[in-house]
Amino acid sequence: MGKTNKPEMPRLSYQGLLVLRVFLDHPRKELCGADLMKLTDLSSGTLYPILLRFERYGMLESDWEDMAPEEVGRPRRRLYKITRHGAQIARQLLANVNKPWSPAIPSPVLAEG
Amino acid sequence: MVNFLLGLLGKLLAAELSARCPEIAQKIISSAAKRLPHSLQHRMLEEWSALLDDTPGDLSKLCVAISLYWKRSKIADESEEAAESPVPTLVTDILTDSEEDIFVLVALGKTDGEISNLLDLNRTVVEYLKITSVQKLSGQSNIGRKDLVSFLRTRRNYSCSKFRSVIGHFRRARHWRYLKRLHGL
Repeated sequence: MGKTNKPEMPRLSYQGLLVLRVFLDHPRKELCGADLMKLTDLSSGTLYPILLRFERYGMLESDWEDMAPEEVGRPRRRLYKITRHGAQIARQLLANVNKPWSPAIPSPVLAEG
Repeated sequence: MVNFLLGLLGKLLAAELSARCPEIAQKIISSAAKRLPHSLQHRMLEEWSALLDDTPGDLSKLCVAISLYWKRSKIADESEEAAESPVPTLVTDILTDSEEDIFVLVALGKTDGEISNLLDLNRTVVEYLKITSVQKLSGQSNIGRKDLVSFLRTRRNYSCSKFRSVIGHFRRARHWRYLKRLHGL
């Protein structure tokens, strides 16, 4: 990509995690925008920046569905799929989120006891 | 009788609006796509057209389109092109004579008192120019695209036409006067 200062992990939000969760639940499936909106319950304006961000970081890949719009009489859908790299990062992130919380510094009271 | 007529008119209006919703939605996504980086425009227009096609209900189509339009600058910022570009892509599309227009915008921001940290940005701009492919801007070595990024950060929702009119207006107002003042900082 030629970027020097790009972090390896994308900026993540709750909505971003939702999208990753859906892709992990359907690892082999190619999903279009409408599917993702239905499955995540996100609005289109929230979903698309997330999809583009994950695609830019190589976590998702997308391609046009294999059909000619003139034959079917509707525009082509863009289908998104999680990459191996994306699945790896997503699993790692979601595992961290699901981990039970524990304070980094032990409470002095508990430590004394 | 009046109530009946008002009700009928209301129903007719609602039916008319509902019938035109898909058409309006399509116009909205076309307009949103036009404001994206060039490399994304065709892809997004086709992709969003398919999304509208998959969305049941006329009003829902309109909501989908409005949501995309509302977040168009966020979508543009997430594109590969935007990530590569130090200047918001909305602006790079507008700035044809980039050097001049950048100074016009920077100068305009300064005279409006809307750039408070221009001096700080000036200090970093030389360093900034080193890491980009941009050559030092002739005659204005202390001012660069970084200033513009800062200037525009709060103006993401400006439309292309608004920028053009701002630039046009400023040119007519002999912007060199402002540039001279700016250069003396």
